[in-house]
Amino acid sequence: MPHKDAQSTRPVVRAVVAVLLIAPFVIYLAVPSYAKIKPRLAGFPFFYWWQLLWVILTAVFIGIAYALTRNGGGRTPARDQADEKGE
Amino acid sequence: MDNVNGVELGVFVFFIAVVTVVGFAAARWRRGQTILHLDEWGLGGRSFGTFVTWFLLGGDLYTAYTFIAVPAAVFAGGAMGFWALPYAAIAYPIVFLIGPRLWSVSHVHGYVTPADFVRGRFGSKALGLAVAVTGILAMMPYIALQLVGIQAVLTVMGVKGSGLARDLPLFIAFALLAAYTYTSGLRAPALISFVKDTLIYIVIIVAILYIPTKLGGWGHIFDTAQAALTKTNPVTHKPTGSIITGDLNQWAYGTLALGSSLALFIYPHTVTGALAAGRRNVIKRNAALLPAYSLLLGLLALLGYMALAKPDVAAAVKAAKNPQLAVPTLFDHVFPSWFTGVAFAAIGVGALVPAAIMSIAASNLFTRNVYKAFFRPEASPAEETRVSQFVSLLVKIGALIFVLAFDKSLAINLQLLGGIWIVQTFPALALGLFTRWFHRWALLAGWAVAMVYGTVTAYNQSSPTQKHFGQSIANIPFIGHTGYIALTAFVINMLVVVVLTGLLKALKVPDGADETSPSDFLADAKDPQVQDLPELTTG
Repeated sequence: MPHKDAQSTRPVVRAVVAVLLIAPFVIYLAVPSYAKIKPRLAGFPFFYWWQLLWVILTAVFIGIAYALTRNGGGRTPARDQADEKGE
Repeated sequence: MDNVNGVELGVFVFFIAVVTVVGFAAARWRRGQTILHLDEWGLGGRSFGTFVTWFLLGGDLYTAYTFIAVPAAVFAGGAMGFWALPYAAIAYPIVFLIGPRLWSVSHVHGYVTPADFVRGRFGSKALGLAVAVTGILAMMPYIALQLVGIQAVLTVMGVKGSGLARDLPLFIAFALLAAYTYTSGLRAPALISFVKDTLIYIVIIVAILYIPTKLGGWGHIFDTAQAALTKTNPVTHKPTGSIITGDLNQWAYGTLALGSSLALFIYPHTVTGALAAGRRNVIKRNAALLPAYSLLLGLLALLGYMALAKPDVAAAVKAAKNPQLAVPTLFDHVFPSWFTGVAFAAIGVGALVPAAIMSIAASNLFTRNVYKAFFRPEASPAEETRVSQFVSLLVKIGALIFVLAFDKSLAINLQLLGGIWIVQTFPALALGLFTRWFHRWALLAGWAVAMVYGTVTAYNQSSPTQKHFGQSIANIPFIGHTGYIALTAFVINMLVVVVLTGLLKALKVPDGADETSPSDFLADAKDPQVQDLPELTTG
């Protein structure tokens, strides 16, 4: 639901965020694409290391999505500075 | 109680006692400080920062589910049990999308439970009631899973008997939990979470680094597990599983992951944890940080293979006919007794704390959205507390019934059953955060149809050990594959909601009033209309 004054995020950024958030679903739900033993990595069959790797990538993708939308969620840019300090 | 391991039991009891006493003492001590001081520690109901929220929400994911149920599923069925990993990954893009909006709108309108929001958004007390009842119901098997986890640990330590005393570990687990919840609001669990997670991290890291070296490395573990899984079962004449999913179960694997990921963030206890965050961005950051837990969940799942790869452990677990014993037995066989005690304490506290939080969340739902909303709007705070405590006990008794009546051969089914129910609140709760297009009666009808379909379908599933509720996957109509019932029911739910909404709008049936406005969903701390929710942490 776009809100005129609230979502200042540009369309390109929103598209990138959408791709970042949808990608993990596509990867994980394509089960037959990774249901195999080889290639192994450090003894782990492909099935396992591929899925574990994508946990890390999912986190990275969400992190990027956060960085891209930080200024779009809250309503004024000033609020985000408070956020940073609030750590 | 003949073969009790004294050292293990001693260390276990010691740690449970210390964690409990420290947690409650700290909570009491803090209570005397000024409001400002409390806020600093994030217990005033508003300023849980990224770090505290990470621990609090992580505690919801890190339960007996992770330690006992998921490895048990992997032990018993191989790759099919590993769906918990994709689930714990794809849940977070969903958290990232719905979490901040739920935080904002709740803090503008003072919503404390998911049912509060649904009632306010769709102007329907009945829909709020439906969401509350579903939440209470879905919490019970999830709490039951925690009881099964404690039970497994006690059993391996030798606390067991025969005849009437057969369920002794279970009743001890229940008594522990009841005592835990009775004495506390949510303050103590929040503090105990730190101790608990630290304990759990130590155990996980030791287990993942140490056990593979004892068992000849990861490659060897996978190979031995594969050999063990492909051996044909003398009863069914079929292999029990494989370390990769086969053609027959790709759909099951994917739908279990997707269905569960829809459920994760709409459970009442996760909502409570998220609303306690101080600012909306805390939730966004946590969506990116929480997958760290999922990574460890994946590695813990593989403990199931380690148990298979160690012949004495595999034989003992199979003889007991209880795959939930896989991890406790593995620890018992590889670790020195004192560290096994530490590990068991970690599992025990890791089950008690979430179970306490879950039963409090369920009883709050009842008090706010059933009792006060329908019976006693003028109830005094003291009366509310009394009702809450009483209901929280009923919820735990409900959980006990689930444990006793249900097939324990795979405890993960308990959590999956809860998922079937809670996912049916996704349209009103999660989609309702983005659109007000749905009609309230359509949402109620979709929920009702899906609840009936899901429950009946789950009831009709048999397993080799149980006639009803044997498993949570079933044939998906028109698709011809086996899939998670929650997801099939969810699709039916959505179809009903969309068709009926169109119909009701065409007939101009009056819809409820929406008390929210679009900007409420984007409000952040320091906005004038944003309020604290003290009920969250003091309840």
